[in-house]
Amino acid sequence: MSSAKDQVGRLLALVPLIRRRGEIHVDEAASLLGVTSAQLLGDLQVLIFCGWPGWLPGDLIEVDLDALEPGGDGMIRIANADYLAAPLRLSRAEASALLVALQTLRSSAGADVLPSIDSAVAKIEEAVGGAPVASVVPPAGPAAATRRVVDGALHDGRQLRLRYLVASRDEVTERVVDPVAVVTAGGVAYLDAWCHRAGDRRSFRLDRVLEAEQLATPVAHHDLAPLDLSEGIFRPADDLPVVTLRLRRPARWVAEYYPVESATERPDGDLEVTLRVADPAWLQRLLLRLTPHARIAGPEEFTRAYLQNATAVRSMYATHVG
Amino acid sequence: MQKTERLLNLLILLLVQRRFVSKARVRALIDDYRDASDEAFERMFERDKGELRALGVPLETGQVDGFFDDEPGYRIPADEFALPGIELTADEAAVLGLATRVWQHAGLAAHTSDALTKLTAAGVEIDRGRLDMLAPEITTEEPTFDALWQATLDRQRVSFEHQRSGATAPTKRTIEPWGLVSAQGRWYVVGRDLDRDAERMFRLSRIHGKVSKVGRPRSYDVPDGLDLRAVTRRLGPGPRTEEASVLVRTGAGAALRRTASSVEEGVTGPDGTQAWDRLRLAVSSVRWLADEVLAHGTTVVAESPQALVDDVVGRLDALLAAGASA
Repeated sequence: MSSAKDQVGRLLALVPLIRRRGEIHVDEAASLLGVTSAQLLGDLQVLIFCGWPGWLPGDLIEVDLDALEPGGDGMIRIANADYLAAPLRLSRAEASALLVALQTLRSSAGADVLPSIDSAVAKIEEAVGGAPVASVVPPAGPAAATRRVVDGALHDGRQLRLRYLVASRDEVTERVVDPVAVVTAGGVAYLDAWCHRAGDRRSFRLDRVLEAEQLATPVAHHDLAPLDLSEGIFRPADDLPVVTLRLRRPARWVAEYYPVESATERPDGDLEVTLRVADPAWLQRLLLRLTPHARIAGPEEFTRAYLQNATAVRSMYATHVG
Repeated sequence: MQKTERLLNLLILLLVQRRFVSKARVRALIDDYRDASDEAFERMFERDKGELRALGVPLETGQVDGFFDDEPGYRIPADEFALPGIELTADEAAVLGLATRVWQHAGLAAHTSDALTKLTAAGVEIDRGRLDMLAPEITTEEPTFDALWQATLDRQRVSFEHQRSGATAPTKRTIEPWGLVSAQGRWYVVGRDLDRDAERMFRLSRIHGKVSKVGRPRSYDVPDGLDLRAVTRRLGPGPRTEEASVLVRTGAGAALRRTASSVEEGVTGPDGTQAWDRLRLAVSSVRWLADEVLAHGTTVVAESPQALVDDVVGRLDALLAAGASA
């Protein structure tokens, strides 16, 4: 079932199309308009009741329905519809949706395709007139180049060699992966892949891929279900230790950024959160970054380690008089 | 009479007349309207006008000249109805074929297809198989996206509860939305904040609850020549104008090395050894770099500017004086 609005939209496209060509086969027209031939025949059955106000026989749009009967040549011919000969302009919603889609294509496009995207955008903006209601800021910097390599490997079904920064350990790792998909969670793009080094599925933040190179080896089939991102990309296991932090204003972003188990506003204005700690080094790095805006309500071992680390860092500035 | 027939006949009626056609005459001419009760006619006519406008039909409202001064009339100017001629190369048309696969949002995917249908009608031959490349996807996870998109299209003011990063509670904002911008996977709404009478940008993921419409559609104008992407860049992080230098242990600090403008190897560090490199960086804020330096622990040491060193040391001293226990 097709809505009346969609049907009107198709008929307004069909009339100028036929006007340009004189006649067009029903199957070709249906494929150009993205519907079945049966649907298009249904549209034409309505068109014959439309026309110049008054709607007497001579006023109506004429469609050669005999040609579309079984045994006919299947060509659509329309007469008496000159006033609908011009294609309808794009609505702002249509123009905006199309322009955003084209701008998004830039992130995967190689240097050979970029000029076509940019010139298509310019021509459509020109034809539409008026500012679109939405836009995309193009990706830039090294992450944009990585994205193109990753998308290329995904498209070609080839393995990737990555130099990847494990930020919690400040360690650069080399690995070969079978790319599965690029996914976005919380505004960050990740490569979902089978990692041959880990022998397991891993998610790699694209902005921490220092180098990506497509290999000649085709990817193996791993039969992986799509990632469930409903609770974000990190899914800490239930048996991990929990830390309770009290966050002052400059540190509150933690609750937005990491999958906190709980978040409670305290009367003193702090936000108390509990987090599962998969890697103690990760927690220490986070605490140092937040200094001095996060305090630890427990357990004690995390507090001790944090103070030791902070003291060691302070000793690097021994000569500094604060 | 089918609804499609009614819509198309209404469109043709208003398109072929050069003058405004009065509402009474529209009703007298179209069977469904004539047969309906007054109330049913009003409802049907409003809905039909809305659907034609949503298709992109420039349906105008004006006054009918002549005897009945205040009678509203309607018309569709033929020159505004038509899509201006557009000539695309085969490569440009191939790019359009890929565009239909980008939106992961049913409504906007349909708008994209409808746009291509019209371009096809204008003679653009879209070859969906010509360009062999992966189409990246664009998603709209934020629940307020649809309401803000519609308000922007309708030029209708909206209000919502927005929580700034670091704020303890949301505050109510009323804005004239000018447009939506996607940057690094997140959606932002750009517009004029009525309370502050200034251009502002809000991240959709920081809007709590529902977006409420305020006032009527078409109640403000978007600034002429608005460039949404330029606005976003202007309101986003500033240019990297601060020069800084840090010492990094050999082999450490890969993320900082990546953004460094120069690396001087084998310099003497605070421990007296030469297992250090000096990185020079241009950053948008010293504050951001202080966070990075601290996160790296004893493998990165701030060197200049003095404000950077003072920030790092001051924050450590504040912690060590007060303790880390809650």
